[in-house]
This record gives sequence, C-alpha cells and structure tokens, in this order.
Amino acid sequence: MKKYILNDKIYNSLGLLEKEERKILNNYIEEDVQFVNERKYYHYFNDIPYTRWPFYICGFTFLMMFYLVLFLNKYEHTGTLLIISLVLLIYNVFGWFFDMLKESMVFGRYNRKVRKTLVAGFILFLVSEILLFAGFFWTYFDRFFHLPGLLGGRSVPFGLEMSIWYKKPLIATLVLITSGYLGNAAHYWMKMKDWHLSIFYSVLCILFGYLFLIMQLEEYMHLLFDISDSVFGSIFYLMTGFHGAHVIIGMLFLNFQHDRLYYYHFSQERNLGYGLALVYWHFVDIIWILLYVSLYLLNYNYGQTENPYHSYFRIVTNFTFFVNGQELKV
Amino acid sequence: MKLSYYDRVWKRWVWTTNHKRIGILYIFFGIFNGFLAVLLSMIIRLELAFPGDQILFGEYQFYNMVTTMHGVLMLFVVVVPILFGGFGNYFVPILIGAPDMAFPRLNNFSFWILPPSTLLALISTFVDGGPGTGWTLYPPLSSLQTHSSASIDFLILSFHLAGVSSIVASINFVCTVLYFKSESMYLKDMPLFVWSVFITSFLLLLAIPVLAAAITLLLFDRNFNTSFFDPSGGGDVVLYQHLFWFFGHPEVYILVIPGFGIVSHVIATFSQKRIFGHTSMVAAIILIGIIGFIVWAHHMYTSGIDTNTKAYFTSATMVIAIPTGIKIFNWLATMWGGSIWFYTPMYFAVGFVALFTMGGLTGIILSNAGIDVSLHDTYYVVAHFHYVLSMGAVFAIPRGFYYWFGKMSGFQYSEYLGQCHFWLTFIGANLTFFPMHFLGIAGMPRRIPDYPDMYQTWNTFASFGALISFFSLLFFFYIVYDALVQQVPCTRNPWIFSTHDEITYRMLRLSHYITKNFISKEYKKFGTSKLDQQYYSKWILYNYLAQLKYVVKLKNIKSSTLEWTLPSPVPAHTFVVAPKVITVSKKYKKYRKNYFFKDSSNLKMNLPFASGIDKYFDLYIEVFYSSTRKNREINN
Repeated sequence: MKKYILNDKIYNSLGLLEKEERKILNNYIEEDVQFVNERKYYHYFNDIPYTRWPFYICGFTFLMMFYLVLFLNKYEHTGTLLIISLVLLIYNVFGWFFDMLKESMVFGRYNRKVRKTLVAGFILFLVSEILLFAGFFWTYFDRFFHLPGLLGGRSVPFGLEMSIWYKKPLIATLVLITSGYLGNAAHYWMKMKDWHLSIFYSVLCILFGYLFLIMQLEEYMHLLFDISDSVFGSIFYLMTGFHGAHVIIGMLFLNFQHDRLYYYHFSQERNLGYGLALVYWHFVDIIWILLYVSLYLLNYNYGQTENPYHSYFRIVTNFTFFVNGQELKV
Repeated sequence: MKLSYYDRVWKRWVWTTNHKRIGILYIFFGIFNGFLAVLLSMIIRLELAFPGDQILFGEYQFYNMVTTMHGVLMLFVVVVPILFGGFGNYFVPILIGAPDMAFPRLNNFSFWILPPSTLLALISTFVDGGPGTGWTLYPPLSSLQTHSSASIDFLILSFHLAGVSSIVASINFVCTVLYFKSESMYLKDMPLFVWSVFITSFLLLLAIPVLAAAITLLLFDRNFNTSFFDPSGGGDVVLYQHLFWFFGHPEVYILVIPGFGIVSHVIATFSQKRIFGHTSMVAAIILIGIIGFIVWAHHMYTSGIDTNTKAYFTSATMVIAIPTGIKIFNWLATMWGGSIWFYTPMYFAVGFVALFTMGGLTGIILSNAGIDVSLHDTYYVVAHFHYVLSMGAVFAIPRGFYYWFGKMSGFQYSEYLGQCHFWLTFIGANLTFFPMHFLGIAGMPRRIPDYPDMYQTWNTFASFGALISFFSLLFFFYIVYDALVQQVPCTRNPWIFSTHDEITYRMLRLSHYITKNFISKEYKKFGTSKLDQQYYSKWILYNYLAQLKYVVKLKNIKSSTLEWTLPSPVPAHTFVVAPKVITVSKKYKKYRKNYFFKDSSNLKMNLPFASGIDKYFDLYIEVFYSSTRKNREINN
C-alpha cells in the first residue's frame, strides 16, 4: 500500500491557486475563527475580563527587592526608597483583595465551584508554607542531633540561657491555643446566626493574638543572647521571627475578616473569608506548638540560671547513665 | 472593529487573564531567555575550543559567572516557563475542556513575576564580577568572605521570585485540573500531558519552599551575621547541600516531566495508535515524582556523608530507572505495529527516546557511589545531565512547538525546513555532548576555563558541535519567521494521515455531497469529459477540505485529544460550556452506559463515517460543544 503525505500536497497546491480561489479557501477555514477582537462569551467560573493589579505588584516587587539588596549593602537613601516601594506594593495588594471582595459581594460571581477551588488553593498555599518551615526545622534538628563540639556538645552552647519552658513560653502557647479556640467559637456562632456572640468571640480571639505578640516581644527584650550568638541563637531568632511574621500576617487577616463580620458581610452559609483566616491561624498555632516543643521543651535543662527552680530541675532531670563505661548525659 | 492601543496592547496582553495569551507570553519570554542562555554557553565553548586562554583575556571570574548564569537561566527562566508555564497554560485547560485556569488573576501574576526575577539575575552579573559560584550557590564560596559584593544577594532574591512564580502557577494548575475538568472526563482518562503538568505542580509545591528556606538562611548568613553555614559559629556547610538538593533533585524532574507528557502525545499521534499502557504511564510519572524526593544525596557523594547513607542513596537512585524504563518501553510499544508518520515532532520524539535512554544509562553508572567518587565534578557528569536535560527537556520545546504551532498561530510551518532543523539540532547536540563522556572518563574537571593539551581533540569537536547547535537555533527562528510570513493556513487537525486507498474510498463516498454543495457550478462549466490535470488536483483538494468541513459541521469531531476539535488559531475563549466527552472503548462500555448513546448496538453508524483513524483507535472521544448563550443557559 503506497503512502503519501497528503498534507504537504495541500499546502503546496495552495500556493498554485489563483487569488480568488485562495480567498474562498481562506474564508472557508476562517469561518470557524470566532472571537479575535471582541469579547462575546462569558463563563460562570471565575471569569475576569482583565486585571491590572498583578502587573503593578510585580513591578513594585522588583523595586522592593532591588532596593532591599542595596539597603542591605548600605547604600545611601535606599531605606526610604525601600519603604516607598513596599507601601506601593501593599496598596496594590489591597487593590487586588478589594477587587475580589467586589466580585464576591457585589457581582456575586463566587459560586460554589469557585469557593471550593479557593479553599483548595489556600490549602495548597499552606502546604508550601509548611514545607518552608520544614526547611527551618531541618536546620534546627541537624544542629540538635549533630552537636558541634566547638560549642561544648550542647544544643544550647555555654553562656546562652534559654527561657524556661514552663513559664512565659507555656503561657504564650496557651494564649495562642485559646485564641484559636475563640476564633472557632466565633465561626460557630456565625453559623448559628448569632452576630453578637460571634463578634464577642472574634474580638477575644484577636485580643489573645495581640497578647501573644506582646509576650513574644517581651521575651525578645529579656533574652540575653541575640541572632549572631552561635548557630543556636541564629536558628532560634530565625524560627521565632518567621513565626512572628506569620502571626502578624494572620492578625491582619483576622482583623480584616472581623471588620467584615462587623459590617454584616457574612451569613450562615457564606463565611469563607473568616474560615480561611481561621485555617491560617490554626496553621500558625500548629507551627508554634512544634516550635515550642523543639526549641523550649527539648532544651529544658538549659534555662536561665537566676531562676530559683532551675537547680531543682537539674537534680530531677540530670541523671547520669553509664554506657560502655562512658558517662552519658540526658 | 478597530481597537485602541490601550485595548490592543495593555488590556489584551499585559493585564490579560486569558490562559492562552499568558501561555504565549510565557513561550516568547522563555525563548528570549533561551537565546541569552545559549549565547552564554557559546562563550563557554569558544573558551574551551582550544587549550590556553582563547577569548576571555584571563578574566576567569567572568568565566565562572558565565557558567553560573547559563545554569540559572536555563533552569529557572527557560525550560520551566516554556514547558510548564507556556504549553501548560495554553493546553491544559483546553485538554480538560475547561474555560480558563482556576485563578486567572493569579495566572497573570505568575507570569509577570518572572521578568523581575530575570532582571535581578541579569543585574547580579554586573555587580563586581558577578556570581561565580555555579548555580548551586554552595556556601563557603557564596559566603561573605569570598563573594563580598551584592551580586549573590541579587541572585538569591531572583531565585525567590522565580520560586514564587512556580508555586503560584502550580497551585493554579492543581486547582484547574481538580475542579475545572469537564465532568464527563475522569482523572484516569486525562491526557498524559495534563497528568504530567499535574504531577509537576506537586513537585514544585513541595520542593521550591525548601529552596526558599535554604537561600533565606544564606541571605541571613550574608547580611545579618548569623552562622547557619559558618563552622566558626557551630554551623554546618553540608546542611546547605542537603537543603539545596532536596529541592534540586525534584527540580530536574520538574524540567523533564512535562516533556514526557508531550512526547506521549506526539508518539501516539504519529503512530496512529493510542498510547500503550495509559495507566502505567500515569503510575510511572507519580512514582518518579515520589522517588525523586528521596534520592537527593546522590549529588553529594564526595561531601563526606557516611557509607551507609551512600548505600541507601545508591539503591534508591537506581530504583528510579524502573518507572523511567516503564515509560521508555511504553513509548516503544506504542510505536510497535503502528502506522508511523515521520514528521518533525515525531523526529524530535524518537530522538528524545533514544538520547534520553542514553542519558538515563549514564545516570545509572553515576548513581554508584563508588564510581561517582572518581567521576564526580568531571565532564562525565556534564555529559550525563546534558543528555538528560538538553536532549530530554530542551528537545521537548521544539517538539511541542512544531506539534502545536499550527494550532496556536493558525499557520503551518514548513515541513522540509522543520526536518532540516531536527537534523541540525540532533547532530549538533550529539557532537557537543558525546565527546564529553570521553573527557570525563579521562578526568577533565567541570567549571574550568583551561585544560591540559591532552584533552584538546574532543574539546574541539564539542565546540564545533556547539557552533552547529547555535546555528540550528538561529535556523529555528528563521523557520518561525518563514511560517509567519508564508501564512500557509493550518487545518483543524493537521495530523490526519491516511493511505491513498482510504482517501479515494472516502472521496467516492463523499463525492455526491461535495458536488452538490461546493463545486457543482464549476463542475458543470467544464463537463465531465474535459477535466484537465490541473483541475483534477484542485478537485482532490476541494474534496479533502470539504470532507473536513463536513466532519466539523456535524460537530462530531474525532481525535485522541480535545485541542484538535477546535479551529486552528484557537479562539481566545473556548469551552465556555464544558464539552461532553464520551470515551468509548470495549473496556468502558459496561459501566459507562449513562454517557453513552442509547442505541449503542448501532454505534458504528452514529460515528462520522468520514473519519480516518477509527481503524487504528479503539478509543473515541466525541465532543459535543457549543459556545452559544442559549446552550449555556440550558446546561446551567
């Protein structure tokens, strides 16, 4: 059976055709081409004609990154430019969010499918956040399990004194967990159509969040080591600092959603904004609990020496074991 | 209607949320960066063409910068934007019958964050000699003591922005595939390109944040006096390598898996068969993705990790050969017994299968920790990863481009020139990278601007091959120019092939219809007895096109994937109503009665009789779609 390439024959013979015939053929093919210049069709799922926020955000992100590097390398006046570009960036981000609000509340475009997709997208974003923190935890545990001999073979080197796990850090942990619980209560009463109780719990949730932030600041002020004091100081401040940044973002998110709650944006069925803020807040909670366990609880016997309970705990916890004739510290 | 400049440029291309336009933007941007990266590689090859200083006048920090930027550009802003961002954005919503991506605004963001990233990377080259660390940015070399200027900081932030782009795009793809898929299409029936993009998205989502953590720590080490990677403060230098390669190894799969998807489509189309073992192909992609996360330390055999760890990573790395082998053999089995049509995309696909297999085999050799100790950081490694990436991932770019160019632009490229381009690229790339195996075994190290005379022969060969490759890239640009100037219109499906007998048979069946509708007047003018040769050829042409038209008018378009059901420059908005995709196969008949014709006993008669490929396919996809408002209202 002889094969030949039909398509090439068509294409070659098209060139041989006369003008009018060619026109007919072209029309014949272009008949199906709809929508080149005008917008005729709209679909129901998150259809946005055009948007200018992302383009501006990217431009200001570039400026911010550029000035950030110059600022870190101590060029003059770049701090001001950094702050200006940051403010412009944030302005545009909020423009994006208000557009979303308009689409949701004024035009009613966020149907069930879009809302489902938003939830999935937010969870995927949280997955990437978790992996970011996983990198930091990896760094921490690398140094925790392979103790550098240079620093005395201790996870917290000589001369560095951690906060005591059962004092303020524990209270801060409880405050953050309570805040998450209160937020859940607010969400519950929102679903039960009780605006007053919902507002009450929401306010409490935010207050507890601020209380946590204040306690963190207070701890930062009273700790006797800083970020450049060995790898432990570095990782301690980096992890708690990144967590603190996420707490601040979560507080902004919750505050914003609280305002929406105050202005009756939410209903029994439609309260996705508050729900997502709460999911983020719980993510911050869980990260803090992991941080608390790994940074404070695992270093329980390296607390501050002026603490009266310190010696007691040393007696209780500092059993000495002998393995193969060598002393093993626990 | 003529639109204003504001509407034409800004609204339509810059602030657009349309997945097709964003895909085209991605492809253009990637090709532009690709040209830059190839220019950089030309500097490397010209310097290494002969022993001694050739073109750099002793500026060897410049050489280091060139190797670094070649890697950075190729990995972050060439291959991923074209294959994942470009083809993914353009074709994933079409292939699953979705109107657009799930988050159109985020889609725009994920493209426009890339130019700032590239710009920061390019700026870093002009700051105090540029980054000379290699794309891996290993700490003692990238720390403040050795690279004290701001160039590394710029590069770190560039990585951050590229990572943000990738994460955002992958969130978008996952949500699109999961939620915007047309309801009659099941996950397991999704085309393999969609599957590959789907899995790649997960890889990006899990790998990129770890890179972000690693380079953030590096940024803190450089600017805030921390000591994560500084042994004097108790830090660990090898930790950076762990964090980096936890990202870096999935990254190479991120580059190549979309290429796997495209090659599956191309081989199935040009062999006139369904892909062999669709389910096993999907399983293989997923397995590659999972195993890709647990083999990272095979990049670090000489970093001082202990022997047990080496044993584990050696065996885990070898395991990856299994799913990859499944894919290779499935492609071969698809071609086996098929009616193979050698067009340019098929040339690139077959070239890919052969050369990727070679790269994979050298990979197995390198995965042995014992052998790797002597081959580590030699040109053998360079040859290996260029066989896998340059001829695996980068071959996917022209392959996908030729396969879908007619669909995207509406104009068909010149087949003759396309095949010339393939042979130029194939010979050039092999001539460049095959001699590197010999150089590596002989012990020539990577990342050096000069070498002893004994390595000269093969280096000169490699440089000659690089010149051919560079010429082939320029030739590629000429082919695109030629296609856009000649304006040969592309039909709805340019890849319909049939034998001479089949065509005559179909023309006979259609002749009545065609004579009645299209050429009756002209036909009468001449009379049957006086048909000259020229008119006869035109008659064949009309017949063929009319046949296509007939199929289209019936709205029953038969093909393996959905993009061929659309007109050839694809309209900006497609599948406003989700298409009803009916998958018909002997296996699926039983449990898919709901989506099936009621008179399924008379199935053959319902299918369009003028379809060329039903003989070879046992799976039909029939599409009923319409863009009119009326239908939309009915369906919703």
